Amino acid sequence: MKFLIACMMISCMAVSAQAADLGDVVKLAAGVNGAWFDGTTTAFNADFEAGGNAAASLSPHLSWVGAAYYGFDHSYFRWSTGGRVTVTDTENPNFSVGLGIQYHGASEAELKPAEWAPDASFGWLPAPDRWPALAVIGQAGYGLETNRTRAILGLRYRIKL
Amino acid sequence: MTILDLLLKAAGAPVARLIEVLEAAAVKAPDLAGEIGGIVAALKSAASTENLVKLASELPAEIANIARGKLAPRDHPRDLA
Repeated sequence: MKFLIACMMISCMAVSAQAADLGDVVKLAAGVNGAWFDGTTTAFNADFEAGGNAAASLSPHLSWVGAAYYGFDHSYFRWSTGGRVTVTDTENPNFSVGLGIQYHGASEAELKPAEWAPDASFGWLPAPDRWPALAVIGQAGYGLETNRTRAILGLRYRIKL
Repeated sequence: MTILDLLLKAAGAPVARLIEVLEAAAVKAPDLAGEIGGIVAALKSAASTENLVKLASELPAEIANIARGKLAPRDHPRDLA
């Protein structure tokens, strides 16, 4: 399964570069999160993070997503990349829910090992007319190796390409 | 593991945890309870088995189009999560 997902992500990235309008496919955002890590093996219960996201929307339902964030309280760096499926109306640009799987890595032992984690996420534009670039997001994932859950709530500012 | 298996795994513990976090946020920010309630309802509805079974049947065609280089991007705010 890891091989299949890796192949899918590589082909997704390769074909996204061929898109006629890169701005429609590729999305970038800067953001901040409140982050909560659960489980018996982590001393990092909660943190405040800042970082960025990149995504490539490849079809009405499928996207490649990636993120890198720095946790200020415990001085860690973590990253994730994977695939996501939109499970709500694909024509609604102001709210959507996604289910998917990402590979998560981190700089600190408390957040390791790196592992695959199925996740659920949402994005919501609270004022699309006044602040079209500002989104409220949330995500929770479940580590397949450690059985730990992690959750974030945050804000994103979309950077126009 | 099939696409449906993966969707069902993501719709289990992750959705439950996300709802838990949102409900805790609604308690701390009662002014936002209405909006948060709407998001929780959408999460529950989207994660229903019926919705996921229907969706899983549509995905192979989309994957085939991507493999052929035929992209059909959409604007999803959840891409930024």
